[in-house]
Amino acid sequence: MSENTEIIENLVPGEKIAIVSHSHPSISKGGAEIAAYTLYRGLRGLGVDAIFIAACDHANRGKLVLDSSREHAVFYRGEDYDHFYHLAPADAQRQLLKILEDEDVTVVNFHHFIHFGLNALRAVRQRARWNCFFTLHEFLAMCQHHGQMVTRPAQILCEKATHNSCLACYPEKLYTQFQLRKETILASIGDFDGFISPSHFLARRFVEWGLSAERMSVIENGLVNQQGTARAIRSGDSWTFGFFGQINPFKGVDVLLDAVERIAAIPQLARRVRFKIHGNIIGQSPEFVARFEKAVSRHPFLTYSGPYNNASVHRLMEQCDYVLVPSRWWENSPVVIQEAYAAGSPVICSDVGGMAEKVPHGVSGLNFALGDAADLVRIIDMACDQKRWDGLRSRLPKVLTARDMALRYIDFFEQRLNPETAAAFTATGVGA
Amino acid sequence: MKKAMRKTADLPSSSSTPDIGTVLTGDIFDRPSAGLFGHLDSVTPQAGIEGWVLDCAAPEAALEVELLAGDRLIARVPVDRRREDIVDILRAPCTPGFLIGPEAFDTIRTLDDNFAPMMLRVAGRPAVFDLSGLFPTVGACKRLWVDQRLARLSREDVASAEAAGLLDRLEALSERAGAMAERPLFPLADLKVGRIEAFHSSGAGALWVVGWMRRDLGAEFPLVVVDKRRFPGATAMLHYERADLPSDHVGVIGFVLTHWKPSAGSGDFHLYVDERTNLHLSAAPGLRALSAEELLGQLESVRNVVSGGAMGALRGLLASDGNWLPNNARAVGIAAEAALDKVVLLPGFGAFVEGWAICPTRRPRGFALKIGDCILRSEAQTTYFRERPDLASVFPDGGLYVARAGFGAVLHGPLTTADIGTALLKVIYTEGTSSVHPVDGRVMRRFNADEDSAPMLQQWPALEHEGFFPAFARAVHRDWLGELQPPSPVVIQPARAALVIVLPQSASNMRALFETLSRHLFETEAPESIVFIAARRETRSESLRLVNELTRERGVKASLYLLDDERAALTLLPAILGQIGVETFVYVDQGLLLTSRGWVAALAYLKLEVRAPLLLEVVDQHGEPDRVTGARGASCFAWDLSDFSRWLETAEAYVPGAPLDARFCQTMPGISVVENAARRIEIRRSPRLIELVDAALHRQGGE
Repeated sequence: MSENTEIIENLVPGEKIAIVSHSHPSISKGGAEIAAYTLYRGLRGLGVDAIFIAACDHANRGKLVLDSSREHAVFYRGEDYDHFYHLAPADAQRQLLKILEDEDVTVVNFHHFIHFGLNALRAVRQRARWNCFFTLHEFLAMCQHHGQMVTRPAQILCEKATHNSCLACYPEKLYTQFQLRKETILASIGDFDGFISPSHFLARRFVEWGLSAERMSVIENGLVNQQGTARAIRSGDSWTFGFFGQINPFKGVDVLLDAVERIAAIPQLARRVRFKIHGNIIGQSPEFVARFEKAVSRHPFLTYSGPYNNASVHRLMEQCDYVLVPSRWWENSPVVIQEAYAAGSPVICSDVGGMAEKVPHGVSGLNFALGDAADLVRIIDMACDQKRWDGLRSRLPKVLTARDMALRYIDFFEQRLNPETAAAFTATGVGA
Repeated sequence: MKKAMRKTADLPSSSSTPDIGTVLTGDIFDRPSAGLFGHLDSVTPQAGIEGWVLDCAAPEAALEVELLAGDRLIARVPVDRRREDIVDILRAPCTPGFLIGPEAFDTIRTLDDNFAPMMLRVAGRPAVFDLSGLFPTVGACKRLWVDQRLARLSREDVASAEAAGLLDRLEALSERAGAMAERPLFPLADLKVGRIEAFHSSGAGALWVVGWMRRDLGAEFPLVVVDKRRFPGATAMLHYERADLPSDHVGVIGFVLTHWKPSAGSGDFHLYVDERTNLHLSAAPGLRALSAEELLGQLESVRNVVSGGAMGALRGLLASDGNWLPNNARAVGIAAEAALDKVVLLPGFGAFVEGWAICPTRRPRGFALKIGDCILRSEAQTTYFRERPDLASVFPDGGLYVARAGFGAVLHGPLTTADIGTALLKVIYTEGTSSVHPVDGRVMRRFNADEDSAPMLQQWPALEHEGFFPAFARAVHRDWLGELQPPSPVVIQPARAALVIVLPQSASNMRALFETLSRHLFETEAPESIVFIAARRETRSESLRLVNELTRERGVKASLYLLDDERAALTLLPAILGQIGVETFVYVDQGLLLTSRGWVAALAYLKLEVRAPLLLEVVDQHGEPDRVTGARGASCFAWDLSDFSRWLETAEAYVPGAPLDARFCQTMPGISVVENAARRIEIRRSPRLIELVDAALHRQGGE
């Protein structure tokens, strides 16, 4: 603790940190804004003079709830935002600069560029009075396809963002437009003082793409409200597998339904498993919804439990022996994995990207081949084993709290800004 | 008829012109300057206006001859006909002959008599052919046409011998009416023998009248129309019984051969119908102008009750090529249906049409389109037929007639913008008859190279090989120039030197361009001024916002101009920069961004005192000269405005969207180049048709 206090004291005098998020949790609860807000809360909890700046579409003003005078909003008009080059009208930039100047901020940690525009980030950097850090949350900088690194229209995982591969996805664009897009991004954030990634996987991809490895650090996202686990001792021969998240093919629910069909044909396995699906099913094709509803009505071992909120996720996960994350895309550092660990549930997930990194096979969960329902059935069959489950549970990693996350960020800021006095509380480097 | 032929202008024949020395010193032109020489060989409504002209300084130069009535363009034709007699004398390859086709007279005859004088001139040159001895006025020209028309009607185009005979008789009666017009004519009340209750002017030197008259006047007689002036003519009347008339009177529908054309004020005219007395028909109070449909309805309604007159002959006239009464087919007993599906109109050229025509008893041989006052005609060599199985239901057993029901044609004529309006299609059958059909206004549109390129090339896959293509290319160019609107200044900041940037088409690329500018401006000084040129499209507002933001954030002096078509930016550049006071500029075409190197070079150039032209090289994604869309040319360069303006005036014709790069570089050998100065983030793809037209203009200019 004294070690931590020293770090804070090194940084805090005369320093003020702005956490800049592309949205506010009162408007949307995506992973990036939740992580940014968790960090802000963690810093405040440590006594750091931190403010939170969220972008807010004019259309959502009525929904915005700022928790204190330390929270600020930059209003933008969504229809004026350029979603290819990620440029915004200068008004957002002016608002942002004014807040930073008025609040006498010294360190700015952006958690996204979207909604502010890369021009705003460049303007902040060009003022030279602020130390700038950027936290990566997904691939939007390198992938125009919603930052998913999945090709269109085939929806195949993209192994590397190159201008040629981007052209294959967007044949209506020019090669030089992708060149200019990348240049615009790098001209905006490329010389920031440091970059933070919640996973090694994401960090490696961005270093390969062009961000500095020396200035890159990996810091896992923390969870704001961690509760002690009250999981009952397992009893009986039945195993419960829970899915939490948006119910759509991207999240691999179709793979899960394929697996359910296969399990139905294996009576001895079907008798031993239960699947509980939690989440919203919004904006999906009628065919997908019909298939989902038919599966739920046909298979007694499959239950749709409806939407859930963050307050109840811990309790609901505790009711599951495993949490399933069958996503069809890379994922970076899915919060659902942190939440599963916090609830004491091993995770069964696809064997790629941030999922495979966060859930080492046989350590804190099990991996199956991406999109392979047969392999998922094999892994589920394997998972229905008390000894294996006990072993996996015993190796679940400790989940970071908001405070832990904030401490790691402060340490990294310190390393970058005052390397000679950097504390021993070292964040994990990319190459580590 | 013979007399009419004698009225044809008799000019020295071409055989009298080989002595080029005589010609060159002649007074063919009103002004002997301009270096132009030529000769009018003949002027006849049958064959048109024929002659030759050449520029002695450049015998191979492509010229065009224009026929004008005052300011109004009647026809424009290329000077492209072989004239061995001239070539033999000059001993230089040239094609100095020209022919303005007889269709020009179709337009002339629709003009008011008092229209301005007729003129013949070489397009773009001040010199004018002296026509004072030929047909100095529209009226004189029309008389020439009417005489010829009568002859033509009777000999060629009339559907039946019966109709031809009628025209011959009317012509003879009309000659007798000349003497009637010399007598004193007074509309004494007791000599009034009938009323004209309604009329329809067909606009073809003929008039249809509806009314009543004394039965004993007969069916065919000479007459004189008196409406302030006197117009001799002749008429053929159909008689039918009308219950509202005394027994010695009959209802009449008559065809009147006359030069007189009722005007809006016509309401107090008289038709003197007797060679010895002042018997006359007067306009009835409430005289009505009948539409073509109403006239045909009247004829149809009396068809079976006519008691006197040449019904058969008049029906023959209705079916003749000279008739433009729409929906005439039923009245003349032809079962015919036709329509146009697509009409693309190009002023100064004519129209491209697609449509169908079905007539079980006759075979179409040609088509004409009357649009406004202009008549466009097809030519056999540019008309095709095709199967239209979708029309099988038009007639019983219609399947038998659809093999050639579809057609496509190029209709030529001196179409002007003012003409574009209501249109009639005439289907001309091999027998000489014709049927006239209204054209649905929704199928007509003005030629637009962007929209018409693909469908036109689908219809005419070898368009550039068609004989009409050179004239078409010139018309496209003229049309573009004619439609060019002046630039609209939104923000003007006077400056001596300016970086000129034509903004990209997409708002997204526009934002990227301004972001790049912001970065350049952060890293270096600003140019004295930046002039932005944007399209008057939906991105207009975004361009204004971005310019204002740049001005406010970076303190740049910036102007903004809007153009209807940003592809005309280069053409309008002198006008734009002249307004601002710019002497030196760097031009960056649409879709281009200056690289850091290009930016520095542009800044340096704008400070120079001596300003030779400078090319800024466009590079591809690898930083190599762009071999796909062009590396060096008029898309990115720097120059002195007055020098550039002079170059532009002498530059060959080009059309919007066509790259000027090759020609730009050809005209400036040894020009300095800044390598790797710009790159392209947006490609303005020229429609294929534009490329073909531009190539044709280039060839014509270079021949």
